[in-house]
Amino acid sequence: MRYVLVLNKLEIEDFGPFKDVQEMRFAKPGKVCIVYGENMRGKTTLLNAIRYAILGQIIGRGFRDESIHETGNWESAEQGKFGFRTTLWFDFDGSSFELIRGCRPRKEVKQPENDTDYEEYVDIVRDGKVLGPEERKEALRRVMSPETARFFLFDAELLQQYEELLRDPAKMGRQIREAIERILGVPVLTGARARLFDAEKDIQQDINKAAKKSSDTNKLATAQTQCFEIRTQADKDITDYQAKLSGLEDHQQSLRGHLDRLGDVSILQSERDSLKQEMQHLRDDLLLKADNIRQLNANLWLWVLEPKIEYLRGSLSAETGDWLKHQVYLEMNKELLGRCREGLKSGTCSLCKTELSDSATEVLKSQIAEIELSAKETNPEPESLQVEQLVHWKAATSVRVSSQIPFLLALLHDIEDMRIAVAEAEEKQRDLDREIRSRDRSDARKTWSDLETTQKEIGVLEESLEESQKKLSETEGRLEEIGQKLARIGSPEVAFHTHRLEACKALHDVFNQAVVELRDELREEVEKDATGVFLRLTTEPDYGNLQINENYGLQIVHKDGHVIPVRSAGAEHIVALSLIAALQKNSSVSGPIVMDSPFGRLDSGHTDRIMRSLPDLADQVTLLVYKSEIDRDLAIDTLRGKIGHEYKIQRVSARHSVLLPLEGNDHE
Amino acid sequence: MSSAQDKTVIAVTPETEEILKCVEDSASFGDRMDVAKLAMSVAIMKNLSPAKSSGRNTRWNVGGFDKDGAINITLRLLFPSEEQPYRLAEDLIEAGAKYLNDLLQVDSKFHLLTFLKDMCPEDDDTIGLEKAATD
Repeated sequence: MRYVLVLNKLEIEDFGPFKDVQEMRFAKPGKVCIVYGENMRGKTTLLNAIRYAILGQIIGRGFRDESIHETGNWESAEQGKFGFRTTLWFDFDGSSFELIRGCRPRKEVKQPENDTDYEEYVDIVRDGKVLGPEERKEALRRVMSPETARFFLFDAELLQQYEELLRDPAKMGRQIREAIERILGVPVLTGARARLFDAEKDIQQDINKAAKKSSDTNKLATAQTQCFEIRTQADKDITDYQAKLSGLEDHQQSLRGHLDRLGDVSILQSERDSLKQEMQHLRDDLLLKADNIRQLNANLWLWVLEPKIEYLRGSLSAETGDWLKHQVYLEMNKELLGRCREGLKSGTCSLCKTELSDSATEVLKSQIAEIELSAKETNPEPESLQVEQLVHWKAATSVRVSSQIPFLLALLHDIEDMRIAVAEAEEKQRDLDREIRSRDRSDARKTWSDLETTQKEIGVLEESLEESQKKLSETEGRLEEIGQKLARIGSPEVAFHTHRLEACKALHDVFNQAVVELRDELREEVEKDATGVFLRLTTEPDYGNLQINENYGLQIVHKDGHVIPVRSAGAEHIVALSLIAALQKNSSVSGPIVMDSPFGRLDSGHTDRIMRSLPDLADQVTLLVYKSEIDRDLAIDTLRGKIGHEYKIQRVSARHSVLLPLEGNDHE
Repeated sequence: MSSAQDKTVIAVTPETEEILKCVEDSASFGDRMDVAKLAMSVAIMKNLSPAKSSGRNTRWNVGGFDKDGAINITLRLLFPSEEQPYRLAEDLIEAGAKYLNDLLQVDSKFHLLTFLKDMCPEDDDTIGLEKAATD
């Protein structure tokens, strides 16, 4: 039977950079929800909010638990409001749930300073009814466990971990193997098998009681009782050792991770120095651009008046133009008039120098009169202003400021982007400084020492575990012998219980076999489904299929049947996604996938294929991506008809982001 | 026409000075004079009534405010009946500043993009302001 988990809505309050109350709706099954947000805006925090809502966990880099006190919104904290809350609405197994989880300062604490100053709370409402503590625990256990959550809620860092594990199956920890098998539903059978084993022990107790009643079998019964005690103690020891071993292995892994990071100090310092240089370039560029804007803004008043000024220039052109033309005409005629007057005075033509006749003189006089009359008919200047002023004004207002507006807009956008980049770089630098300060040498020495101690303890525990397992095995062997003797010489009551025991063992064997066959079947199904997804996602045509091993490690097999020994980062990525998709398909719980920056290291070819396959990876997919990871227009085009909701995480300040819905045609 | 009685200095009220300062700081203006000219233009384009107010403090000499005389002539062309263009300019600055104040956002900052969109005619997308403002 498959249980379906569908997320409907998430509401968060003062969680990370998400100040006050904000909400997002998930896409309905069959569709995708995409959230766009630049780095350090809150994408990973959103993933953490979903994880916190379901599991009560907040995970930071290196899979370490994050501080509750540090998770609350800083701006709200400055205003005296501490703590945070998540509310998740979802449907599961035919019921509707409202899961409220959060933390708040303890009553007696006025100004929280660390995690111990907070108390956490969780409430669940199922179909309108508030659940009690036990019901609540059971409901959460059924919905999603921390072990299985890693296959539903993951980010690039977790994906990278799978890639490493899939590449080196020996590294595939027992925990991940068990987590995979939990998703696939194997524990149902192994649980039943364990119950049968317990039933065997109970029947052995019945045999023991019956054997004690007869003097023929009393001694055997006593030996049997002693074996029971040894077995019980061995079982307990084994369980204790395994639990401690698991804890020490986790601790060992954490210490190794810490040492890796400690070793990167010089890299961090170099990163910080580059960042400082980058910030300086950005600041210099900002100053330059601000200066450009100041220069453009000096003429902005002209842009505002441009329509009116253009109209004035047009209407004045007619007046001033005509007047100017007339002035030119007058200037030309002035010279002609001068020559005519000179000729009249001297009685000689000014051009050919011949003496003027009477008729020629009369014509000349007439011409002079005509020109003088024409000179009087001047166009009046515009009433209020002299032409010279107007000509000057036209020159001063000739700048077409509107042609500079696109440039101004581009500058404004650049400045905004650059300011965000500077703020992000400053925050990153602060993180780096903190990280570098925390990694001093004494820390490295102490960590090495801790690691050595832990490894020694693991060694001792493993020896103890082996001894206990050997003792258990020997004791089981001894009990088998005693059981056989009792079967031969025991009373009818002993014989009856012995038959019961044989039936129980036979049933146990059947379940054992069923577990083995189920595991094989599931592995085959996972291999088949993972291969199907992988071949849809990969751009390499020569890849034939994926091959799974006992530990759920996956290898790529070439079409010619050979295993590909060395895989590119892109191929690793695809293999990991294929495993997750296959687990989803074969899981007893059909759940949503929430992926944070899953495309970061992929080329456009793989990104495109993954985008197209998203609705097939799981019933409900939510992506948290940054702009350069996926272009929005491309996403809309690729997922035509399959986008349920889109959001953008917008910066208000370095410590305040808002979740804004984006409009779209396909949206629900 | 005589401009003999026109103002030789441009003065603004303390409230207007505050608004001009806010705009200058928010939106990269090199000089508060540029903001004042902008306010004047806004008042003209938005057909605001020139604001007659008292308590103005001397701010700029007209020679510096209107170096090339473009403001003087522009006002005389737009308002032919007005005989004192600089006095008119002062009143328009007051009216325009109030309008700019209304454009100040929730965070008390003047956003140039919002202003450009506000001043652009609705049917005019040649500058691409609509797209730019919603990106």
